Amino acid sequence: MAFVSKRKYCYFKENKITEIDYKDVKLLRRFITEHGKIMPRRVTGTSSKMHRKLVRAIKRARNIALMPYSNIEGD
Amino acid sequence: MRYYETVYIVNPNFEQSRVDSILKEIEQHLGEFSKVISHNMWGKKKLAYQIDGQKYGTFVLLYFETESSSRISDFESFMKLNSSVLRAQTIRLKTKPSANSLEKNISIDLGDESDGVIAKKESEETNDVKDAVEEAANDKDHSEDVPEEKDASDDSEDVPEEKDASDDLEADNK
Repeated sequence: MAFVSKRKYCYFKENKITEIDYKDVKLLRRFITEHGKIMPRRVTGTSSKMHRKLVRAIKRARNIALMPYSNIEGD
Repeated sequence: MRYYETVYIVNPNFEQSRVDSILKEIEQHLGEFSKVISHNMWGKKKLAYQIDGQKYGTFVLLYFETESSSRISDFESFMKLNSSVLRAQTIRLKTKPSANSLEKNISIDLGDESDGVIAKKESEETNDVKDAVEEAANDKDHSEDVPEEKDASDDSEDVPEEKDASDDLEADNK
C-alpha cells in the first residue's frame, strides 16, 4: 500500500512567525479542536519551540475570555 | 525599565461616561508608580464564556512601563478588587511596544470584534488570510476539503486527530 503522505511542517516556521500574540485569536483558533482543546503537536506539526509559545498564548487568551476553556456542544 | 501590557474587561452595561471614569481611575492608580504608554478601548466583544453572568464585555488595552516591578502585584489586586472590572490580565513584554504595534493591535481586534456575531462577514473580509492558511494546512498534511484519491486513505477528514496520528506512526514505521 503506497503511502503518499505530505510532510507536516511547522506553520510558524513556514510563515516566519517568531512571536505569538495571545490577542490574535484568529491565528490561535487554528490550533484548537472544536471542543476548545489544544491540538497535539503530532497533529499540527508545529515545532516544539513554537508549540510551547502557542500553548502559552492559548492559555492567556483563555484566561481573558478570548477563547473558551471548553466548548462541549462544539461551535 | 520594564514594559507591561494589561488587558481588562469592563462591564458592558456601563455607559461611555462611566467607562471613561473607570479608565481614568485606573490610570491614576497606575500613575503613582509608572508611566502609561497607551490606554485604549478595544470595543465590545463577545466573551468566550460567561463571566459574572455577562456574555459580552468591553475590552480595554493598556500599556505601561515601570521600574518598581514589585508594585505590579498591588496593581493586580487593585484590578481584582475593582468591581466594575470583570477580568484583568497583566503580561510583561520583552521589548518596548512600538507605536506601530499598538495601532496594529487595536485594528486587529476591532476587526475581530464580536467574532461570534459577525464571524461570517469577517471570514469574507479575510479571505486572503484564510487562503494562505489553507495552503499552509494543505502543505502540512491537513488537506481539508481536498479528497484526492491518494490522500483519501490517510487524511480526508477535517481534524483526523487520532486517525491521522496512527497513520503517521505507521508511515514512520515503514
